[in-house]
Amino acid sequence: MEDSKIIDLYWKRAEIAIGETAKKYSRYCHAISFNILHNREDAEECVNDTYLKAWNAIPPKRPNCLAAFLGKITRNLSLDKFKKYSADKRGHGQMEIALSELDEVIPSATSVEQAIDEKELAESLDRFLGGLPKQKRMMFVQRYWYLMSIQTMAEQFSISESQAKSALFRIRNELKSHFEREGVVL
Amino acid sequence: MKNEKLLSSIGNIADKYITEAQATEVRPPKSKVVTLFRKPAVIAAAIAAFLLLSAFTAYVVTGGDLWIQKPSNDPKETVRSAIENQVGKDYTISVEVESIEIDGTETVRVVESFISGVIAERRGWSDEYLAEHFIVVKAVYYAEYDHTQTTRSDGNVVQYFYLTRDIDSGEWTIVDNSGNVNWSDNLTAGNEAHTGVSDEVRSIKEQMLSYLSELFTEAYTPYYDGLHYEMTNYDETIVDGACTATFFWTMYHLGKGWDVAGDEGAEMQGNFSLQATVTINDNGELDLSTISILADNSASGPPDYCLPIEDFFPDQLAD
Repeated sequence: MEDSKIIDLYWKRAEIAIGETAKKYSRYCHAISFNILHNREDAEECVNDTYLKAWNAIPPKRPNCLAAFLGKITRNLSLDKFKKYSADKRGHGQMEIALSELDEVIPSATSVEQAIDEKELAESLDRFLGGLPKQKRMMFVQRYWYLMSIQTMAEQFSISESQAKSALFRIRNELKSHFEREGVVL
Repeated sequence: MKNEKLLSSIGNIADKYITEAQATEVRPPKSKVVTLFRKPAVIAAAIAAFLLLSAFTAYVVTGGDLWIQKPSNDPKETVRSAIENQVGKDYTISVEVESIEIDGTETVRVVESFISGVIAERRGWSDEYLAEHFIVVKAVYYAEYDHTQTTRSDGNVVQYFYLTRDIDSGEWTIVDNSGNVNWSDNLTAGNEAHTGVSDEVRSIKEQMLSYLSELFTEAYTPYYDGLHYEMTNYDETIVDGACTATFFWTMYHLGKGWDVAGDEGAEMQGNFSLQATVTINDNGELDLSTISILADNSASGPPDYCLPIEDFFPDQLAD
């Protein structure tokens, strides 16, 4: 079913909307969650919670891109669950590695600078991504949005894992320079 | 932590970048063309088998087949119904037919190469009869599958369907197609129905059945009598000479009464959900040096094929 029709079902408050969403996007959402949590049951729980959040959000929302809308919900729910796990010392998956990689992107702050808020930061990231070649942009998003493993990425782009790591390293350096140019402080 | 803030902000990047990167991982690109094509000799052997075994008609129509088809007087409509009805299956997310056409060249080639001659002579089929009762239809469609439930590949599929026409009703029925075998789901080891039909290379499913039968017989003969096997829910995908098949495997044997005295002599069964991966050589035969048989290890939910079948085999009598 087309996304617009699924969204219409949400607006009509027809519960079949959830079934149609699951039919089309369960695999997509599950992949996002599983990359973060590495646990089938927890990922499934996040996916089900995604449907509930979508049901509560539409209406009033009418997402332009249902896949991204659902993906963002799943990602946020999975990150929240991951944080809870970390507190319980149960964390695993790609998140910790990705976080440590992102450490090197953060510019050092001076005392007079104000930390940027998340919305502005996302806008700066959009500008950065917009200036990247497509393949580099996809690699960045796959690694830090989808939390995809280096191995899977290497397979996606038909390159070796070391090539994928090198490419990501260069992209992170470019991002750091971009932040410095824009005066971004985290 | 600052890096968590950054990771969180990355979550709010523009939708277009999210969907752009999504394409290669969780949603294979639509431009990918998957041509499901078995060796012509194998296909022809299947068709010949069908034409020789009239009893198959009822089976194909009544169910158990991979194609939920609605026989029609128009062979293209029969194929269309089969493709579109895939949506009714649990593992299919969507199917979109792009084109369906009768392939006259392939029809003539299959008839001339494999059906006419000995088979036609034995059955008393004239060329005119064959021309009216056998046809090949080529279909191009886009299919998206739930990969938690099937190993089939998404993408634009080019597939050939082989149909025969019922003498009484005039309706066309799919008896085989490239990529999947839909006429022999009830095939069991020891079933002689297909032997003697042709010396052509056996279908992949038949070869798989034969290989597994030998494997199980070797493993279980020291323990059980009356061994025979059944392969059901068979689903096969072939891409670039690599075959992946999933199926249920049932091993029947006579009980020894070791656990329950009353079971002695009674037919028992063991069931396995298996996935086989194997390379197909140029002759359409399985390259058994590459075969891997894995069993589903999931207690519930989507299958998780990870256990080598050999792990199940008993070793009490081993040295």
